Amino acid sequence: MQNRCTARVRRSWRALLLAGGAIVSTLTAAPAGAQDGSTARYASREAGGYLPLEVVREGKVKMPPALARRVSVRRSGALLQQVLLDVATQAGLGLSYGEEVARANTVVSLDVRDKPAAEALAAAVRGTRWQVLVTAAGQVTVIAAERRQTGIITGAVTDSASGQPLAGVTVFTLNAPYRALTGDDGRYRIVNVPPGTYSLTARRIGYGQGTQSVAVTADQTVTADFALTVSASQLEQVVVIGYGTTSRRDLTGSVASVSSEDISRQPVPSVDQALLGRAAGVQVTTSSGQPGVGAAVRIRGGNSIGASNEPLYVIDGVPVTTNMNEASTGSVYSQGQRGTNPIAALNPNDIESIDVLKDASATAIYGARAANGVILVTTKRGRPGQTSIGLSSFYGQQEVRRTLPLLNAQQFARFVNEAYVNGEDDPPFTDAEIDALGAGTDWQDAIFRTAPMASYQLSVSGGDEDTRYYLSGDVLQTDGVVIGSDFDRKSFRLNFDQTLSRRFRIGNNLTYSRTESHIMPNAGAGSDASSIVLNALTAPPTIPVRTASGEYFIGTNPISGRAFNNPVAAALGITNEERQNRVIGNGYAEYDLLRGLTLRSTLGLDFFDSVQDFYSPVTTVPGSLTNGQGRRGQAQTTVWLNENTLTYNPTLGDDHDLTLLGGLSLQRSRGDWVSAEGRQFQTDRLRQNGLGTAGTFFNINTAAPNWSLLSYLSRANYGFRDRYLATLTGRVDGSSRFGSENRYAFFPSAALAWRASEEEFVKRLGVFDDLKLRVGFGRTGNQDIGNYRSLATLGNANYVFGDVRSIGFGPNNIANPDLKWETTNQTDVGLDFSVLRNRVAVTADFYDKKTNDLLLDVAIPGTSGFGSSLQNIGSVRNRGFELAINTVNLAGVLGWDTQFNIAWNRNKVLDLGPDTQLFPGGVGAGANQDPTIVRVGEPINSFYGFIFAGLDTAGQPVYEDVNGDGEVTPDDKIIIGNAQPNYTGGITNRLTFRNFELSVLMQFSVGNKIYNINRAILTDAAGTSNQLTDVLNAEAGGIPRPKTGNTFETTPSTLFVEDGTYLRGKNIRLACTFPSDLLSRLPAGRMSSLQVYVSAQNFFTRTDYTGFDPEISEYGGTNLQQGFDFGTYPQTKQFTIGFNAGI
Amino acid sequence: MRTYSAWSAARRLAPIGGLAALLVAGWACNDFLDPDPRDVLAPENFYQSRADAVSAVNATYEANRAVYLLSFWYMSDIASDDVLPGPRFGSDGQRMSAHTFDASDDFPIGDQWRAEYRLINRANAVIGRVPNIQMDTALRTRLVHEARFLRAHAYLNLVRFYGDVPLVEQEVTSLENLEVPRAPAASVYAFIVADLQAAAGVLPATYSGDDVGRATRGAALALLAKAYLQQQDWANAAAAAGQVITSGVYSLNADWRDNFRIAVELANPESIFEVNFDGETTPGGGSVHTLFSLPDGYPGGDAYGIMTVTPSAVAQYAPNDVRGLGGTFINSPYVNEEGDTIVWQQPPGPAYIKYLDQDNTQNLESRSWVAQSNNWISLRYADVLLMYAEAVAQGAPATAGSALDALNAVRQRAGIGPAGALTVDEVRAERRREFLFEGQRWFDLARYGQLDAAITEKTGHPPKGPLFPIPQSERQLNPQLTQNPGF
Repeated sequence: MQNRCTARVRRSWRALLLAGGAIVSTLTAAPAGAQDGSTARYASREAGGYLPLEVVREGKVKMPPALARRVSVRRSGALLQQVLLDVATQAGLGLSYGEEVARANTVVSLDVRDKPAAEALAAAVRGTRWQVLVTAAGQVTVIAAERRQTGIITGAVTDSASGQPLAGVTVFTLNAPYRALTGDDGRYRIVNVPPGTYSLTARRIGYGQGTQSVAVTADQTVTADFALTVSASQLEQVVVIGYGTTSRRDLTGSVASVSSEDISRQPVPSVDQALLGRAAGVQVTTSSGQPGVGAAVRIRGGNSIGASNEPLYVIDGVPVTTNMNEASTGSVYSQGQRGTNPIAALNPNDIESIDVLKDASATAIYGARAANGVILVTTKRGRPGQTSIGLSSFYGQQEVRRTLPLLNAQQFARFVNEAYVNGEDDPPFTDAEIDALGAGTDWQDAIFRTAPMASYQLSVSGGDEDTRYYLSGDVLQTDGVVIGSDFDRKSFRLNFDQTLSRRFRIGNNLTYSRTESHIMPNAGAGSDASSIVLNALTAPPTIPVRTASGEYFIGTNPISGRAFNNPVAAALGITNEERQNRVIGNGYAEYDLLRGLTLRSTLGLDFFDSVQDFYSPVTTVPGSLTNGQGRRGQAQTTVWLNENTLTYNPTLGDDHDLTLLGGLSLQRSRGDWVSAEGRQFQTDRLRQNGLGTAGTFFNINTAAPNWSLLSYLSRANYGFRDRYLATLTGRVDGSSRFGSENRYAFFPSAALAWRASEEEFVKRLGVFDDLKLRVGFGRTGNQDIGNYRSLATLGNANYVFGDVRSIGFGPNNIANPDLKWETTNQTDVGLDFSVLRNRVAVTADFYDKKTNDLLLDVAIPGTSGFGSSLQNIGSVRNRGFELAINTVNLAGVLGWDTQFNIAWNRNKVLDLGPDTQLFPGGVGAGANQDPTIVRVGEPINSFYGFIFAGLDTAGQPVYEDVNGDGEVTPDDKIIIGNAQPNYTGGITNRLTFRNFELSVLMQFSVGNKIYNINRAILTDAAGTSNQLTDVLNAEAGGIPRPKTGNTFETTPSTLFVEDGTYLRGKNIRLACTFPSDLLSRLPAGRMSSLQVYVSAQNFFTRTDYTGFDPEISEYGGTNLQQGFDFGTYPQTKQFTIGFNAGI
Repeated sequence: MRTYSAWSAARRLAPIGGLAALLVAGWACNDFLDPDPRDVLAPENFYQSRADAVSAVNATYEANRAVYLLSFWYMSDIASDDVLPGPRFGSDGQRMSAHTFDASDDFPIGDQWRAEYRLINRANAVIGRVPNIQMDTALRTRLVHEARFLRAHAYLNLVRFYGDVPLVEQEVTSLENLEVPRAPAASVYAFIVADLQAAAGVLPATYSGDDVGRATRGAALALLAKAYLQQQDWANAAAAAGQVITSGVYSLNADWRDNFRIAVELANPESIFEVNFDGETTPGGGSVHTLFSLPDGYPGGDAYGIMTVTPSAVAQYAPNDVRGLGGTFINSPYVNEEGDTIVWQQPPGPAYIKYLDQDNTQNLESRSWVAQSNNWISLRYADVLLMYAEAVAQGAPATAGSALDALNAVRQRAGIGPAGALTVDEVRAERRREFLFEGQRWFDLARYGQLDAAITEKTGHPPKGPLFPIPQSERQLNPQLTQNPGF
């Protein structure tokens, strides 16, 4: 059965390909000079040729006088040829027609009185399958409309102010599926256009729409040029909405867009970082300065406690995994055992646009994965016309923004002495020794460096009428500012589109990337592979990096009496590496079943392979304790996706605009993991590659996580008179992760928009160029809970009989067949308006999200034999307000525009089921203080602890007796801060003058608190490790009296809560675009465009935070452990020069 | 012309056909969403073979390690009159020893409750599912009865700690009906007796090779004796203990210390049932008193020094009792077997040394939380002898010879002279000397009716009640659970 089926499909495909090939050959036989035709030349060349009647009627060419002659014909139910003969005879036109016309016996009716012959002829064939052609000499013929040949529309699009060519402009015919994009030279080309008159529209992000009428004739090229004017309203911006696109004008939901220009202005290694400060309500927290690290992205706050809060990323229609837990085997020693960010696999230069779907009406089309918002990434595609080659490169240097003020060797020695004396011990340093010390070792200087980064990007794109391609590659090399850390990426992309026939298109998106990164070992303070940064901060400056013989100093730390964990030796000696291969892509076939009805079928792949290595040789801790210690883990995940959608866009007249979408999506993920650890190596030479030679083995694990999703999706967009807009969305998701009783979920949404600016009474006000009110409600889900959680499972429980290890398996998870998704209900009310001739455009949104049925691991009665069960209990609310204002301040030779956004989000835990508070823990090893709490009535990410009330007479911290019961007990702990900001935002100013462009992105976060665990360690005043210079300054507050035996303060208190508010100059960039006439005179010749720029990232930061950097989150990817600074790899500032060239 | 139409038709139909096929596939493939766990065992793909049956029972033994990790001896010994906490003991131990704890002390009271029921659920899974496996019938019967032994073992702890407890007889597979009410202690005991009688009828007297350490007939009978004894059913207790004595399988170790030597764990003739901790292959808590009870600074690794022996416990040992100084406890300074003198400040009084195996290099040189292989001794022959003696002294018929001889065998092995007559008090005193810190004292005091007196002597006040409280955390989850008197 299957074989027969396959054979049949093969035959069909062969037929399709043959058909496509035939059409291709026809078209390539078109006259060579066709594309540079103009109206005038076309008119002169048409002599002797037949033109479609409608072209002639449009007046683009001189009309034969006979066609203007008035005729009167009245025939009912007559043969077409008879009616035409009547008209031709009266007008004096010649008439000829083929045998097929005669055989067809088409019956028509015609009733014209005193009308031009042209009109009569057109009326005669209206509604038939025939078409009238005429010659300049007045000869009329009739052919089948199907057989008519096609023409070409071409032209150039420029900026009306500068005259510069505009790339990336979509030029398309209204109500017909013909479209193209302009290349870097601003030129576009639409092929296969049937003869006729079209309303041709040019749209580009940030520009007003241009429309003109063009008449297309067979085998001819018509030229239509556009000069677009910058528009702040961006009404015509094309917005990707998932399984389709729309214009911002027609949008009913809340979608923030970031264009390729915005991205290209900021040389970032990873896509998620490009969102920072760009989109209202999208909070991006780059967790550290480790190159390649992931950012925590929160769209309108975090909904979930137990499942993921990260948005769904969809790259060219392929939802990709960003779940670090799925990607990591825990073999690298990074905090939380997380490796590099899977999204970092994408070359930012390949991105055409990023659209962030925020409200439920926009996201519901992604159903059970949409509750945290959806980020749609669209990559660049080839454009017909001349081949465009882009070459870009930048080189940058990164540095830490600041180093912490620490004691030098002399200060340290005196401080240690003081601690010893206070501890009634003999001071270890004599005055003579102290005098001889000098400044000692600056360990920060020893581990930080000025780190270069370089990027090389090459893209080739182009194509012709039928075949379009975008081919690119990039190489990114980023060294980290901490020695021994780096991130390299090599990627390759091929996006290909082939038009097989007017109705049938196929193509693909495909990217492969390889990343290799050396990650700074950081498994928490006090652990075997503790943070290099923290070790450098605490390392005594009295210890040298290397001994006199040139080897790393790894002996006993004379101050602490313990083995010294030399940060330089660890940074350079430990292997802590992740290598990823990733393939993301899909192939599609699109077929127009009927006019307006398109079937699209895609087969997508997200392949992710990560190898994680760790090796600590005997010269570093922990290898020195275990005679070498190595691990390797490999996680390989293959996700297949098949999606089939039908889009119907019927022609319903001028008043109604309807688009219907229906589809089926099947997705399945298969994973394979293996990890192992060895210790006791005879030699360090083989490192982690010789695990088999280890003396002992630990943690040998394999796993094969699987999941699948089966979904049905539908959407209706309806517009009435461009004034009343409605969107209805529904998706049914079936997930293998849910219980058998709740396997399918339905996620509906509805949105209405009213374009009040189309109403007469608003127009009369003369204030608004655009005014739109949006209201949307919808339901989305979160299914990101790991696999098999609804099933009863057995766990490995081994026992020893005699001396033999016997394998056991016992129940370890109780089935919850009712387990289901978290449900988020969201209401969004939005207002868009633009005034002052679109120079001021404002978008404001208020939203209220309530997430119910939280996926929580709740305690169940112990008599069950189980401690807890994953259940749907509890709820969280996020409410907020977002405002985006875009203005064009100056539009002349000196141009100035501003994009400003700001967002407030208020998060509150409403219900935790049987509990009123949870202590999630999870603040890493060695912190010894874990002030995390989740409490009903409070926001997530609250810190919980005591109020610091000064030092007692012994110089130790004391805390406030909050409840006044006379003693300080755990009951005196209160909420002492929250990592969530009051508001965040960004402002981008762009100034243009002739060929120069200056853009500045400022970004801010206000009211968020940082829990600075580093400070607890760096002010313990125990005389065992280096300290902040604050310890010398009694007024710094909270510094215990120096004394041996002090331990670093482990009581969570306000002492370590700091304001994380900051204002940051995220990016500044000055670019010069060379004029094309200058370029043409260059000896190099064929360069079509050239831009050079200098830029700086994080060039300015205003904050009161005392740590390295306020943009920090040690446990970046987690839900409940935000806002901690604990040996975190600091953020960097960066200077870059680069160029973008087009050839 | 016609050809073109055919192509056209093919082009139209192929995608439609493809979509239709996919839609059908989507509807038809109901198993597309089946989770298909390949790396996780589920009840549906387990309990099918002999090996599965053995593994399921092994996991039940494994659950016993959690039962005897820490909380058991917090409740059975630290709460008794044998242990005083040192100043460094955490608040949990202080509260337990001072009897200031209440139902909200989830460690150890809630931990112990949950660990016992975790074992019971695993045992119930075996008892419910293994009989359906097609396999060697004799082995299958043995495995099921090993699980019944372990289940009874857990219920005996529960009923002795908490009194009336929920009697869960079936594996829990659903979140429905989890609020099980407490069953009267008498019916819990009846359930225990039924399990143990059945197990005693089926389990083998001994095992060999890789099976050493599994529950034996002797273990079932010894535990049965313990269950009867606690109910003061002296005749049945003596009869069950007598069966162990007359079986001839067990005898006292000549050297009392051999009971605690890792090298002869399970293999010594006195061992009846042990909870096997193996620090090498299964790192875990092990028998962690080794670290908790050794004095601070004791060389060779972790030594927390947080517990001291009560004066009344020290006072009971005659100077020549091998179980006294150097056997159960040591004083500072102490000269160890290697001749090193050890001095400590913590604990300030006599420190426990009972579980330090001075022949074991790991115990001596690399003690740490995760790597102790000292077993927990659940049942040993001395216990059987003294149970027999106690039951007979209480008036039960002597079915297995002289009860005085049984008592004196234990005394003489300890290096103290024989008792002249069999009295209840003699036996009680001997039990305390013999089993100090072996998890017996709380239950013994409860059986003697001496809890109030003993605890008052230690703390100045009687315990809040004769039983431990039902954990508050469990009462919140299960409103059916009533609280014990005094809490």
